[in-house]
Amino acid sequence: MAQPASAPALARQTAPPVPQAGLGRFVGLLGAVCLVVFLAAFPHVVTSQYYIHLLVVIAIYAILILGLDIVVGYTGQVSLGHAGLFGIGAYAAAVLFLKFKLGLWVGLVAGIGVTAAFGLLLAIPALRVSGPYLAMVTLAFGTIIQIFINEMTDLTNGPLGITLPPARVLDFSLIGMQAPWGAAGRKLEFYYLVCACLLATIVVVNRVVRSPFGRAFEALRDSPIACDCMGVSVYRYKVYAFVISAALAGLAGALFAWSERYVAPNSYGFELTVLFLLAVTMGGRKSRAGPLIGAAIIVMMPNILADISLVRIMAGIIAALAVVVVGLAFLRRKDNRMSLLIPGALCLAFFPATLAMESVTDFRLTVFGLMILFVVYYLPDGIVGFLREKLPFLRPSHTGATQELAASGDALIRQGGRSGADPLLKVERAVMQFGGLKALNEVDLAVRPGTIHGLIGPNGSGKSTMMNVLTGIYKPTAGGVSLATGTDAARRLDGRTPSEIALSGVARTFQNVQLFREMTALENVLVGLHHSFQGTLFDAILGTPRRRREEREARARAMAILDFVGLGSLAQVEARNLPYGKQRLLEIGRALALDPVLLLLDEPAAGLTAPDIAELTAIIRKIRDAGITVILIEHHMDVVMGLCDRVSVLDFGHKIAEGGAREVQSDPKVIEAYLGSPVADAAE
Amino acid sequence: MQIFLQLVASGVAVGMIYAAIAFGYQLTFATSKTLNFGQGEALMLGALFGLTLVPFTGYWLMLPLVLVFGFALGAVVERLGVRPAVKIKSEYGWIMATIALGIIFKNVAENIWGRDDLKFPSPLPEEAITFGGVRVLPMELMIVAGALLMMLAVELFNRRSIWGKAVVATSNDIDAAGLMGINTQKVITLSYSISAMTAAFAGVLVAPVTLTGATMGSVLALKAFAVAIIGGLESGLGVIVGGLILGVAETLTGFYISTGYKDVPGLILLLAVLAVRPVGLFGKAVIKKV
Amino acid sequence: MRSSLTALAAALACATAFAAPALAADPIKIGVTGPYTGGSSSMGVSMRDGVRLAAEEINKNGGVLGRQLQLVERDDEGKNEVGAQVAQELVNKEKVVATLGFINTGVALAAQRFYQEAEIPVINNVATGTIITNQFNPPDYDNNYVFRTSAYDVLQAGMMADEAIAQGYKKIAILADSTNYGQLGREDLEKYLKAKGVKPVAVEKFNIKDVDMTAQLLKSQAAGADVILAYGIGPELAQIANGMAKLGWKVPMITSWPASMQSFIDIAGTNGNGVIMPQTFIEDKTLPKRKSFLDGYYATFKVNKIPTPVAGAQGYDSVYLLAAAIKQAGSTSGPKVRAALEDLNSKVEGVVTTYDKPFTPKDHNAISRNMVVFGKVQDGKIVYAKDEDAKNAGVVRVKEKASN
Repeated sequence: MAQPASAPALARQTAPPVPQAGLGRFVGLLGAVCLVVFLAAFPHVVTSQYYIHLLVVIAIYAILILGLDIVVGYTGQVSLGHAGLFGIGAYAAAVLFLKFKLGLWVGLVAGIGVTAAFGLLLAIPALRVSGPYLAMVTLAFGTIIQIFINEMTDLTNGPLGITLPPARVLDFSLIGMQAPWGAAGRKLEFYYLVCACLLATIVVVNRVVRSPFGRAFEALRDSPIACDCMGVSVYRYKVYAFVISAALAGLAGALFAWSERYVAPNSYGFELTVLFLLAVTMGGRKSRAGPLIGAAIIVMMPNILADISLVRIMAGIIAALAVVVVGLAFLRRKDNRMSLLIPGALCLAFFPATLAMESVTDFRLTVFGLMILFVVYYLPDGIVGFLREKLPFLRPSHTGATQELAASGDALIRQGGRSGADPLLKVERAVMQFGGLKALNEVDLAVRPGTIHGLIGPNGSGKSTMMNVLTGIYKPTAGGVSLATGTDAARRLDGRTPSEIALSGVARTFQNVQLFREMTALENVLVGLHHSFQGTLFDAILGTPRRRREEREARARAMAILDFVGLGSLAQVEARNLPYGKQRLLEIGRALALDPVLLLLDEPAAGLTAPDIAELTAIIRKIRDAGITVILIEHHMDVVMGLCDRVSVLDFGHKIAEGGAREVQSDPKVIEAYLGSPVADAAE
Repeated sequence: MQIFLQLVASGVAVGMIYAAIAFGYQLTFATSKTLNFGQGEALMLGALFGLTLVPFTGYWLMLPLVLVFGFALGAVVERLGVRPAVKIKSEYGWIMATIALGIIFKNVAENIWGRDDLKFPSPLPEEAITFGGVRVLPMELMIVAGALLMMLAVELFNRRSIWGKAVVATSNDIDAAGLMGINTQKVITLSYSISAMTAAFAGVLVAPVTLTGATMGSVLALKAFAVAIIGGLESGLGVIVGGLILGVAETLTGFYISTGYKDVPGLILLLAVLAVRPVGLFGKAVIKKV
Repeated sequence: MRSSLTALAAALACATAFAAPALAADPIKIGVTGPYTGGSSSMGVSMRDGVRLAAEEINKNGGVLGRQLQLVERDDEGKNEVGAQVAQELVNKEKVVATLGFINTGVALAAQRFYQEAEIPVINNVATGTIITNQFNPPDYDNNYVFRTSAYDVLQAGMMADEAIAQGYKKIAILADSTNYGQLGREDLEKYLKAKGVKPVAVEKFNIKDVDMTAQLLKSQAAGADVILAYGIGPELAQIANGMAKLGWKVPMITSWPASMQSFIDIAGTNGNGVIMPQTFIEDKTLPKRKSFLDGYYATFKVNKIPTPVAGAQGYDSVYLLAAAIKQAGSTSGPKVRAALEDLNSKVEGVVTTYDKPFTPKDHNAISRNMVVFGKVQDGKIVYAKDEDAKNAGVVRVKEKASN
């Protein structure tokens, strides 16, 4: 029953095939090469200034949308303020020219810097909230920016706007030379500058999202609470994401100012924000290709809609496609064929509607709105997401490095266990009050190092509340919690944030599994290992040797931890696709990655099958043997009795008994609490 | 002093307009934790629909018809914009879908009623009444009274009727309400219907003093957002107080500081409230459950 | 209106298709840009319909240089960046000969440079910002390709200020909307008043769609203003008039031209009576040309009132001016058309006026001050504010040679 190390190794050989990740990487590279060739060749094939400018605008929007994707796609926050940030970038560049005659390059740097600063300014209050609140705060921010730009006439020229001269990208006259590519080439300098910025943005975003930063972003979207409890401060990383996103919006804004050569306050309104958001989702979140596609669509859309004959052709194609899709669905008797009928009919009806219309201009916004609805309903993962679903080889390789990872030996316990008689964790007279209800009422708890301490009690007795107080999710109304780490005096834990507590060596699992669902098992553990990364954002962006070394080491360790909990063969499977029992184990593995001195397990055996429970108890024992102190909340009495060195019993927020497992089991107060008495029944 | 009072009086009237719209946000947020970003367009459609009816029915007979219209409109918004997104738990989904529906409504209204702002005939005399030197339009008084009455009616409905109790139960704990046999899906639809109904009613209420046209809702809805957040999305009283604060802040800033920065204090207040007390002045702190 | 136009277009298409071998000439493409959706669309649509009407008439009479005029209409949505994109499309993709339009000064400023760089003439027929025709003045530029058939701001501001002073008012309050249009107008007003040695007692701002004007009006009242000069568009100007009625404060109000928009008349109702504003065109049928224009407009677009008459009339005239220039140039090349516009030999009979050398190389504004009259709102109509103007309604006011 105790599974030796060979079992995972065996399992690895028979493991389900991991997605062909190498191919995904290959496709990405191929796409990048195609993009570079396309951008380089375009102005030589299509010489019309109109199309070149159109491509410039697409590229600029794409830069912003790539940045927006970090916020929307990776951290899952909805920002309605990006048009405002875009405007700040544009104005930073334009004002520098207006006031100090500083040109393009200074403008770009200022655009990035100033906008990032504003992003920070917005993020600090705004990111304390989420969901609709955040949407509304960012919306208000965008409005305020517009008002200020309009009113601060001395700085921004007010509603009149600022006109800029043609951009000078490279000034050869400074070194007394002519541009080597002649006058015609000079016209393309700006185009190539924008292309370079776009490519640089793609590289930067790619590196950031694959770094610990990117993992933190995804983790906080999937489960903010678990993220905090892994020592990754949700708030801080939201701010990081927002500031990076703002910086890219600023870069885009500055480029836009010099591309349009005219900035005015009314260009950066709410509708632009909606366009950006549409582009992100329509193209496809969490990808590089998606924002490019999305940007192209939103820039070209007005042009397409302006031309009625083009609209009719498009509508015809859409109608034909709808017929084919619905027809196929019916022929193959797919389950969703009925739900396809309505959109199919709508797509069909659209064609005669365009024939009847003399001009589509008047209904442009309706078409725009319908597009948004269509994307929200039928294309929630965007075009790229749709293609990935249909064509598996396009799926991204899960953050690379799928080559066989050697599990390095020292999987566990870097902080080292402790033993001795002095308690490791001390809870003194903890009170937790919710309104009139005291969920914890002056509870004392002392946990000795190197033991498994059981915490039991009927439902609603305050066990989970205790867990939340210990990990900082609740701030106790009164009383203290302290942890004796190392040789120093005990450290107070109460009043600290969950991530601070996690970093001081307290890890936990959750009653309802809180995994990062869209991340692989390996990535889940890597989030737990976040604390082992010293690299800064710049390391991530530049891909320094330190960053690569840290990543290599962390991955090896993560594999070792996965092997320890018996999940080595499932490293590349997304957490949501793991069987329930494995999810529980993965949570424990992720918690171990924190190098905890104290591990809190909240009903780890709930919902597990008998063999799973056996595996679990073995693992918990191994953890204790490695010197990690464990607090175990559990309803399975045999698990508690088999594992715990000491047990505390809670009932209605009071500690009613404590002692050895057998001792507690025979305590009449405990029996009464569990089996109930007339008095207790009345209270229920 | 008289100027001050006049400013406050005008601010109160404006503030109640905002509050009436914000009230609608609060209704749907309570049951489904979502709100209609196209609320301004519901108001606009209500006003324009009412305007079309007035020549046939007169102002007072038009009111119940507009209420019915708003009720139906809310159900449509919920069905098309919110339900699919809530089903897949996509926050982004309902935000974008309601924005999209708002855009569509606005565009359709432009094509039906034209692009010009129109005059909504006032049911009351347009001569101002004087209270100790402060002049107010009868219609402004009616806005204040009407908005309060409307909120009171909804409040009564929630407390007295069985459906209203279901709404309250759902707001308190949607899962528990579902387990108690309440059809929470229907309750959410109902809350959207009532919400759009209040918006449509607010539309015909304010139309005689504001501009009536396809774009009338956008600016008002944005201000109402600020109000809902300042007051707290959980509280009816908060919405009224928030509306009054914002309305009065606007007129006072306009007079004593600068008319250009009229809208700024409200928005700054919004950011400040969120920084200090994210649930709003009257909101209740939520306990996270793990 | 749609169906009749479609039918017309179809008929035209058939006609040209059958006649193609005989005529064989490509149509002359003319860009038409303006906001056909959104807040300022009533002006945009009136302008567009005026342009359509004129183009249709010209085409019926055989077109220009034996070629038909083909309008390429694009909605700039009143947004700068869309306007710029439309301009590039019209220049580079559609390859228009000239462009008519621009309602919003900001859009004109953002988009015009593409025409200037491509040497394609553009006639602003509604936007009034003074700077519009001065953006590409010599000597910085060899030639200026931007023309205008609307009364520019300095001219309107001057008229408004002079009128206020002439009526004996000393304490002037200026109210202007916070857009480009309003603020440029306010600047022109302040400058002009300063030159006259008058300092306004209050200068206030309001936003588009503002619900309440109490603060602005109370400030003006507290400053003791005895007249209001307001720069804005119809709906908000109406809100000012209503706000004054609410506060029981009665002083005369002189506004910029958009108080003649239908929305002002509707919303202000009786409160709008007596408001005066500079107008290039008042919806009367005193001249045959005006009568035919109005009848044609009403019939073609099935309305009994032009939403914004000034925009419609100026749009209509701009087509005839352009057609005359193309005819005189005998070519559609941009520089030649520009040269012809700057030196039009023939008189062009328009709705606003009969244009006799409307433009010179130095002066690209077709409207001079003497051509603009004051209109007055009276019981739901715009009438001549002054008796002598009303008496002379049938006399064509021709551009002063000396002006500018």
